Amino acid sequence: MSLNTPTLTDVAAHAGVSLATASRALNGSARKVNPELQERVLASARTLGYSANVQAQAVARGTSNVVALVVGDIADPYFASISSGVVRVADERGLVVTITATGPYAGPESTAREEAALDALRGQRPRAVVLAGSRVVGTDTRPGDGGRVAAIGSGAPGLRTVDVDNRGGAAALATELLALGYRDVAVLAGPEELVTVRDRVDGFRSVLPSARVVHAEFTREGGHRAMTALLAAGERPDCVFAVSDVMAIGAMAALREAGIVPGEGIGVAGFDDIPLVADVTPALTSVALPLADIGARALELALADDPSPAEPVPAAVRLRASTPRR
Amino acid sequence: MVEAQSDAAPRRPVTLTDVARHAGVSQPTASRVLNGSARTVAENYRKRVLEAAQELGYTPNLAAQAIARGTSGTIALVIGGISDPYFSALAAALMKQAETYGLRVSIAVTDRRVDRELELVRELRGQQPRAIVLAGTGYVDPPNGDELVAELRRFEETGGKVVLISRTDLPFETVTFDTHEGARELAAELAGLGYRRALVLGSGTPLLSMQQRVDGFVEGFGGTTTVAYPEFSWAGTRDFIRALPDDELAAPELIFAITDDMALGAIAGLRDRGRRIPQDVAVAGFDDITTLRDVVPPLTTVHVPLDQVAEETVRRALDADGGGRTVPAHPVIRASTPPVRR
Repeated sequence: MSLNTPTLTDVAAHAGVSLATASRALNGSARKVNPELQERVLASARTLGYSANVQAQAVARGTSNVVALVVGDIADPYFASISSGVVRVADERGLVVTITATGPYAGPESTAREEAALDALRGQRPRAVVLAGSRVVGTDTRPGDGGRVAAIGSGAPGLRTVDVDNRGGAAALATELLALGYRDVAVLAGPEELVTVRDRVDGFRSVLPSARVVHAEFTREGGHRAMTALLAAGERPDCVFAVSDVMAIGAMAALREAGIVPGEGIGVAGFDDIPLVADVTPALTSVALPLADIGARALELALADDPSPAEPVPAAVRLRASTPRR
Repeated sequence: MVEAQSDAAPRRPVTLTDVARHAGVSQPTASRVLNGSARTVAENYRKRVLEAAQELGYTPNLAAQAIARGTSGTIALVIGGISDPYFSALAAALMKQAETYGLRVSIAVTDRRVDRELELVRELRGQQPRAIVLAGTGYVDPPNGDELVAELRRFEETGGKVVLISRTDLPFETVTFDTHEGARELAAELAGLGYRRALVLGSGTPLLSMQQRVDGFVEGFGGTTTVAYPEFSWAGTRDFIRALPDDELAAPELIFAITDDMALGAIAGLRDRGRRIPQDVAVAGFDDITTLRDVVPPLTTVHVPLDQVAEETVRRALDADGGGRTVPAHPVIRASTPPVRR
């Protein structure tokens, strides 16, 4: 349609090389092009404004330079931190990341959205796919077909997965809270069908079996709602453990609204150790996951020719002012 | 509800056919005028179609247009950094808005590296999205601006659309919020509260819209301002405050950081230095990121209506009407900057 779009043939003619050489230089073939020729071809491509038709290339080569990252809520700092690690590795390897967000987890609708997003991605033939969203318990139909796929935290059987020690981290937190003198603890949990939520709740209760569990959305609003409901029911635990920092921060807001000072009145702990825990008052006790490194590992895993099994990513408790000694 | 009806305004949604009939032109002509086309239409026809559309209250079906015209239903959003809460909130707002038009958003990150921005645009152009939206702020002195412009022009020549958010350094449609005016108004309000000595924290990376925030603030403040340029990040600003000599730390009554993210970094640094907010020093930011609702004391800032920015951006991305839009940004005074008692 456009008369001006330069083709590969134009680039080859301009650089004075064969079409095959121009193609190898620009499209990233396994066969090496001599660096001087490569530079000439690249200079011509720049001069002419040639941009490879990625879709056509992807079809020809079977893959593209794009790495696809699928996250839940893009505004959730947890996913932002993971994304930064994925972008870092992609950058080192000369790949481009495109991020697709399926929104905050909202039940079956979210699963459908993820599937739709993956369908759309297949058309782009990404070099690799990283699935960062939380998996629903009992589902094992995540796609392994076509491109290379890696999941974070809770992959389906047979899917390359960066395992995160959610269970161990939550158990370690419960042990620390016991040592600080907390006895009556409530767990503010996300939807029970999420594997991450289930693992964190189970880990925590393996140490503190008496802890009762309230389920809400896996968001700040969910944490706020669960805390409000707990207080409305007349409960006054000496500490709440929210299964994510974002939920914990919502719970802290609910406490303040009820005239209770977080930390002093009721201790609050979260999970993930997102950067935000340092900006809230009091600073939030949490379980730290090296989120950027997890993102980086996930992409390396997805791209690996022959991935070797790795240890789960360890989680470390960070005690802060929101859980003072009782 | 009772609606007044005239013969000219049928109850069902007004279609392109209605407009064409009303204007007395063929449907392809009406379409060319309203949906944008490379083929030009004689000025008197153009005028007649536009008047008919206005009279009938015709609004184009943008989603259908996108499908008819576009090669894909994707808007490619290029942002500066994913860990920056402003960008992640903007991305969320844009996704929400795009979804109402049946469009998908894919996000790519420049990490505020100029060379990377160019590379990304090249790569994205090959994917043939419906539109490329550049939301990273422009550089004060762009090293390869010409190449970037050339790349984006080619994208438009092949049917794509380029929209910029909050940057004015490139000749494409731009949705801005009034950075300079927002900062100026904030400074004037703070001066009105009695503040006379301010430390302004700008961006160590020379970014155009960030410099406008510095300039607007200095212009509106009137009192004494000292401007420093720490690294453009939460941690960079915290470290800057941690390392500040005692006398320079004690001097300002007020610290204005050009983003909320930097202001929160400054607060972390101030706490490390034993300075209380606002008793010892007041702090203000810019952007009104959602994080602020969980910060104590609540932070004074400039509110940027991201939903409006997103709505305008998607409209620009789908509609060929040209020109730019400026969304106003207004100061919000909160507890981190109480009136000064003397």
